[in-house]
Amino acid sequence: MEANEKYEITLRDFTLAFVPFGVLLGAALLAAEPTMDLGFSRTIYTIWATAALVTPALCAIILPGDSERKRNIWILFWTFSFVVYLVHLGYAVFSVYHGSMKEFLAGQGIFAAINNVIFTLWWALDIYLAWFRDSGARWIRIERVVGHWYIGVTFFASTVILKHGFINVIGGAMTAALLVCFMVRFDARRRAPVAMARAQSR
Amino acid sequence: MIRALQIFLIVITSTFLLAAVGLVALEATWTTPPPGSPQDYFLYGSTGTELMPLPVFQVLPDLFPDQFQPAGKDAGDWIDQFGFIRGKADVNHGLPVGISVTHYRPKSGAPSPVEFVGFNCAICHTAVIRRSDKEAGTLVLGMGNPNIDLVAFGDAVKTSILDEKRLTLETIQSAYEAKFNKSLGPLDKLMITVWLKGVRQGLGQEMPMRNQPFAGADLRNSALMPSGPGRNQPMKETVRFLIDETPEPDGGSSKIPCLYEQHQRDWAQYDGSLRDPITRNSLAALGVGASIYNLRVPGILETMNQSYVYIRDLHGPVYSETFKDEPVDHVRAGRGQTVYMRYCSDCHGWPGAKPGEWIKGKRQNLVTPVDEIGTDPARVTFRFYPKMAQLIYDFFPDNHPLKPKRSDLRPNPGDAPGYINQPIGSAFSRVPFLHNGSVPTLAELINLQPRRAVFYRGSNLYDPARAGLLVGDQPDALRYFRYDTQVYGNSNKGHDYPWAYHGPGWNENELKDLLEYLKTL
Repeated sequence: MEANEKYEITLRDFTLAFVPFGVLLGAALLAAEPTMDLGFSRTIYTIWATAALVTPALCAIILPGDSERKRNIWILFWTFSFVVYLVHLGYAVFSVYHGSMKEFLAGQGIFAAINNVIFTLWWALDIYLAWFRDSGARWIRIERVVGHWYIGVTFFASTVILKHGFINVIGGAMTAALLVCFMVRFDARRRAPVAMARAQSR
Repeated sequence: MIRALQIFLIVITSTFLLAAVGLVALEATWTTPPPGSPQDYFLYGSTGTELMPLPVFQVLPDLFPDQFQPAGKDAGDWIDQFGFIRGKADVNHGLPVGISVTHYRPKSGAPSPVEFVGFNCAICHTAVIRRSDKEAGTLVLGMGNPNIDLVAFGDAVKTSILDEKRLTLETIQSAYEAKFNKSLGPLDKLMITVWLKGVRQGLGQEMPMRNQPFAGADLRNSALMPSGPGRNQPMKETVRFLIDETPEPDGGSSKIPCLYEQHQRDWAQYDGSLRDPITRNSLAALGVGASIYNLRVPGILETMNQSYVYIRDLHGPVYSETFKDEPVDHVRAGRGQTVYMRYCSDCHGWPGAKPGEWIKGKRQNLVTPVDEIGTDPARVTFRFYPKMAQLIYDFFPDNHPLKPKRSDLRPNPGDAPGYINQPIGSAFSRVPFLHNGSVPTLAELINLQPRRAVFYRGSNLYDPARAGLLVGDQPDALRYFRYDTQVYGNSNKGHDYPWAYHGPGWNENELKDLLEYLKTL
């Protein structure tokens, strides 16, 4: 399959992802204005926006089925949330850590810093693969599942456990949404043999 | 219809996003034009000490006369009562010398759509030499202002800010309208609201370390505010911003020094602890409210650099030009030069034949141990002093443009604490004398006259005969601060050169000659 044939994105799907992306990124940039430290505030607000935008993508990959719409929603939210994450990264690296690797390591701690680098590279790689490579390849399917677990768990850890404040509200909502999606997926799997048996008995 | 709605939503969202990104791009234009010359940087540049929005600063003294006119309305306005240098009405919003007006937000240095005020080097290092309260006097850039009571002013500001009933957006707005006959703009209101909330929160967080600020009449109580005019508490403030602790004992108070001819110094700080003058200047800025973050901001960093360029070759005032009607006795001064060369020149150097030239003495720029010089030891013996070099080094991140070299910091193990033997060009203007300002005149410094145990400081006039500050033994509205040399850090002992008062070798006539010569430096 050619890369440009993979997603037939409709205007409706695009609107569904672009509007929250634009609103949240714009709000994250603007909300910093009435603060004394623009760079730091934007670093915070953009990670909130990223967590909110990545949730539909994670849900889409968890939910059962392989409809065109679900795939579109996934790739759009997955990409837009990454764009917002890059804005977050830019403000973090150049405003909070002043482009200094030493400050970055000191501020994050070695483990978190390494994790964040892997996290960023993996996410970027997956988006590249999603847009430009055949997603049917077995290694890509494995990469995607493992990558989503890794990125999802990292978001859970940072938004629910490690950080405190309003981010916990976003983290809580994200966690609840993902749990619901898992339940739907398990329920669908549980029903699948029954439905198949009924079909065969007819 | 649904398709049209979707397109509409995309257009609206795109417009919103573009507007937000456009605003971010616009922030780069919220700047103040850079000062034109090194002197302009010294007078108007930002050293990262942004304190409050300009409109708040303009009305705060009107809203709190109890804090900003602690001696009462008859004793002058806040500029008089805290010893600032009055600026020209049509320059820099009519604010006193050394107050910068910029578009930097406090602490972060992020661009602001409204103007903030801060203090720069000139606030403390510009003075007026006057012989009477009525005369305009001579403005001297680079001279330590012996009258400014910045620590007390800081407490007056904090007390006012913490008053949630009297300082609100509404009171600020109404005072501003009454004063300028115009309303605050919406951005002013927004930033004032945000600033007020943030600054109160910040002051609240620092309260355990700094304690409640003093207020009203207590601002002039030397028992509560021990630094007083022309001095600050550099060690206390430095330890606070380095490690968030208030040292006890705190190293005492130090006078605000003159900044002339910085190129003549090998080590910038007068106790020989810092070699790089820009590091020293940045520590001073940090003590007044700059942050390690905003000192990286290019415009602020440039002020630090250009201000040094200005003071590097800055000449101090000349006595005979300052007091044209008080001629120096050149016969006496000629004899005094001999005394100076015999007793003073090794440590302080002497003027060369060419204008502005200074010949280095054998011991000039070396640290004389405090045990030898005998002056007050608090500044260099307080409990954190041995650790200061490492604390300062560790405080600056490795990639910080102002991070000093470790070899440019002292003391190190084995270093005897003491004070640098400085060149003393324009000696008459380096008032008051000794590092703690404990000796008001040159006549007392050289022990021609006895050093006073107690005197009153404030807006002291200049005494050309004694070459120093005219101080009395009773307070008045403008000379309110009781300087007691028995208080910790205030000792006026030591530096008994050429001789101790009425000690062995003491020669009154030669000392008079020496005093006359010192006026010519």
